[in-house]
Amino acid sequence: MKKALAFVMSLTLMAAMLTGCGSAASSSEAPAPAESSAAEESKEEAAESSEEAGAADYSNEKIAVIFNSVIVDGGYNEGIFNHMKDLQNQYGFQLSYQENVGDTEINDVLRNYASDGYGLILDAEQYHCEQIAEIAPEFPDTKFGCINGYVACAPNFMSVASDMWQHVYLGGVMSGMVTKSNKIGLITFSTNSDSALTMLAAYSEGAKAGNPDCEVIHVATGSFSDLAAGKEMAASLVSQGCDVILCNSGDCNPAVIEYCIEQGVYSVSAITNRNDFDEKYVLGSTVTNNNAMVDMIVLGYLQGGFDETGSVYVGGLNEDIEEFVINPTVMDDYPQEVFDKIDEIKGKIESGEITVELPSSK
Amino acid sequence: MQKHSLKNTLRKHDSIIVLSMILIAVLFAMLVGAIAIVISGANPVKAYMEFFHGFIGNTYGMGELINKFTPLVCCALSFGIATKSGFMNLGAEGQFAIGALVSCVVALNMGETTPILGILIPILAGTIAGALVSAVAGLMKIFFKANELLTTLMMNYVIDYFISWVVAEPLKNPAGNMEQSAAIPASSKLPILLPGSRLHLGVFFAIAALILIWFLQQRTTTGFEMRLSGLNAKCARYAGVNQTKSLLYVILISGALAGLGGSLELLGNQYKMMSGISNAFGFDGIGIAVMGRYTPLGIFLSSLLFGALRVGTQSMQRGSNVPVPILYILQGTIIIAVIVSAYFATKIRESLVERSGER
Repeated sequence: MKKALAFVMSLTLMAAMLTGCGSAASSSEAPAPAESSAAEESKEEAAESSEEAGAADYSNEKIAVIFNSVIVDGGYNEGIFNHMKDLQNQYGFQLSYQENVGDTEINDVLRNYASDGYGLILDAEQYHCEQIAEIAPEFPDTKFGCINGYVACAPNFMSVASDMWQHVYLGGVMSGMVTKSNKIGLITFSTNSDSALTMLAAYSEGAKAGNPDCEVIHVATGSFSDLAAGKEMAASLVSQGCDVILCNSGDCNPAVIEYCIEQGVYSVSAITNRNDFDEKYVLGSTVTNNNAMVDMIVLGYLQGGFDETGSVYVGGLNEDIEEFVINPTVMDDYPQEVFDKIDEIKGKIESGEITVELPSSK
Repeated sequence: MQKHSLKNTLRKHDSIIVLSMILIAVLFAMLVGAIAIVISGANPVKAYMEFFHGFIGNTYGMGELINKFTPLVCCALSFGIATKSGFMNLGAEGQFAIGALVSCVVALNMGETTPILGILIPILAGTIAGALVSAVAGLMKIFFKANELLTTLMMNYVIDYFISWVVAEPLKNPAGNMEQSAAIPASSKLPILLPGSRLHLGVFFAIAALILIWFLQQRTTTGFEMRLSGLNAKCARYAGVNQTKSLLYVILISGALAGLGGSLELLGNQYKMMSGISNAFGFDGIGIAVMGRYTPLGIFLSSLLFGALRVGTQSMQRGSNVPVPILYILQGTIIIAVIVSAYFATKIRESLVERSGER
C-alpha cells in the first residue's frame, strides 16, 4: 500500500512538474508566451490575407483589450470586442482579452500584459484611465489606450473620448417632443461623475429645446452590471410619471429598454443602436461609435499616428464618434416637425452654435 | 506492540494520504474543468499551460502568487481561530476592508515620514480597527445572545456600503474621477522584496501571524482555553475556563487578523482605498480554513493553492481567452474536490487502522 501510494504521488508530481516546466520552457523560447492556438490560427489566416492584399504583416504584433465587465453585455463591451475581432481578422495581429477586471485588479492586469510583451494594451473602461496614467510610465515601450478615457498624461498613452453630450442632446430633443407627461427620466451609473452630469445637462437642455415644459428626473444604478438595479430605477421613474427613459449604465441599458417596452413606456437607447428592440417604444439610439475610437488607437499603433501628445482626443458628431439614430419605424408616428427640429438642432450643434455648459474637466 | 504499530502507521501515512488525496482531487477537478474549457472553444492543454505559466518560471507571476497568499492567510487564520474556539466569524470581508480603510486614513494623515513609522503605525491601526469591528459582533453575542453568524455576515454589507460612500465622498481623491482615495505616501508603501516582481514585505507579517497563532493555540494556556471552549463549552466551564474572557480574546484576535490582511493589501498592493478592496479574500479565507483543517500548516498550503488559482486563472484568460465563467467553474470545482477529498482520506486512514488492528 505504501509503495503504491508513493508511486501514485510521484507520478502526479512528475506530471505537474513537466507541465509547469513545459510552459516555462515555451515562454523562454518564444517571445510570445501568451500565444494561444486560436491566435496562431488567426495569425496564419491573417498572414495569408495580408500576403494576398500586399499589406504589412502585423502577425507579430500583440494587442490586448481589457473590459470591466463581461463581453456578452449586448452593448458597449460586446461591440468593442466584436470590432477588435474584426480588426484582428483584417490585420492579423494577436489578440488577447480579459473581462470582469475590477478597480482592484486593473493594475495587476496592466502590468501582466506589459510584462508579457504586449505592444498595445487597450482598456474599454473609461474610469481605468487614471490607473493607466500611473502604470504607463513604468512601461515606456508599451502603448496604452483607453476608450472614453478622460486622462492621458503620458506619451505612450492615448485616450479617445466622445464628448458625451451632442447625441444625448438630440435624444433629449426627441424625448421632450414625444413626452405626454412632460416628465422624462435619465438613468446613469452615478449621479455626480463628470460623465453623468454631462449627460444630464445635455439631456435636460435638449429636452427643453424641444419642449420648454419638460422636466428631467435623474437616478443612478451604482452598477454597470446589476440588471435588477437598472429595472428598479426604471420602475421608480415610471412611478414618478416619466414616459420616456434614457439609460446609460452598461449592462443595464438593454434590460431597461426591455422593461420600458413591457410597461408601454418610451425609451432611447444609449451607446448602441437598439432600434430593433421595438417598433414603437424605442424612439432612437444615441450611438457612441466606439469602433471609431478603437480604430484611432489600434490603427494609430499599427500604422502610425498614435497620439503621443499625452492629451485626450475628444470628438462628437463631426468626427463620427457620435450619432443620434432615429428609429425608422416611428417616423410615421410623429409629425414631420419633430424630425425637422432634430435636424435643425443637429446642424446648430455641428456648427458650434449650440453648446452645453459641462462640468469642469479634471 | 499492536498499539505502537497503529500509532506509527497513522503517523507515517496520514500526511501522505491527505496530500495524495488532495493532488488526485485537483487533477480530477482539472479534468472536469478541461471539459468546460473544450465546450467554451478553447484548447485545454494550452489553457493549463498558461495556468501554470502564470506563477511558475515567471518572476512577476510568482510575486503575484505570494501577494495573493498574504491576505488569504490572514483571512483564513481569522476564520480558523474563531471557528476552533466556537465563534463563527463570517465578517472577515468587512473587517479586512475596515483595516485597509483605517490604514489608509492613518497613512494619509501621517504624510511622508520614516519608513518604519510610516509602515508600522498604519498596520497597527488597521489591525486594531479590524479587532474593534469584530468586537461589535462579539459584544452583541455576549450581552444579547445575538447569533454571530448573522451579525458578522450582515456587517460585511454595512461596511461595504459605508466604504462605497467614504471613497465617493469624504476620502475621494479630488484630483481624479475614480471613486478612490489619494495614494498613500511612499514611506508607507511596503518595500518590494523581489526585483522584477511586486512581492512585498507583507508576506513576513503573514508568516509571523501563522507562527504566532500556532504558538498561541499549541503552547499557551489562553490558547488551550480557547480551543477547549470551542470543543466543549460545558467541559470548559466545569474546568474553570472564564468563557466570556476567552470569547473576547477570540473575537479580538480574529478581527485583528482580518484587519491586518486589509492593511497589508493596502500598503503593499493597492496603495489607495477603493470599494471592493476585500476582493473576496474574506470569503475565500473560509474555504481555505476548512480545506486546511484549521491548522496553520494546512492554512499555509491552502492559501498557496488559492493564490495559485487566482493568478493562474488570470493567466489562463490572458493567454487562452478562456471565458470568465469557465474560470469560476474551474476554481469552484477544484475547491469542492479538495474539500471532498477529506472524506476519502478519512476512509483510507480508517481502513489502514482496521488493518493494523487485525494484524
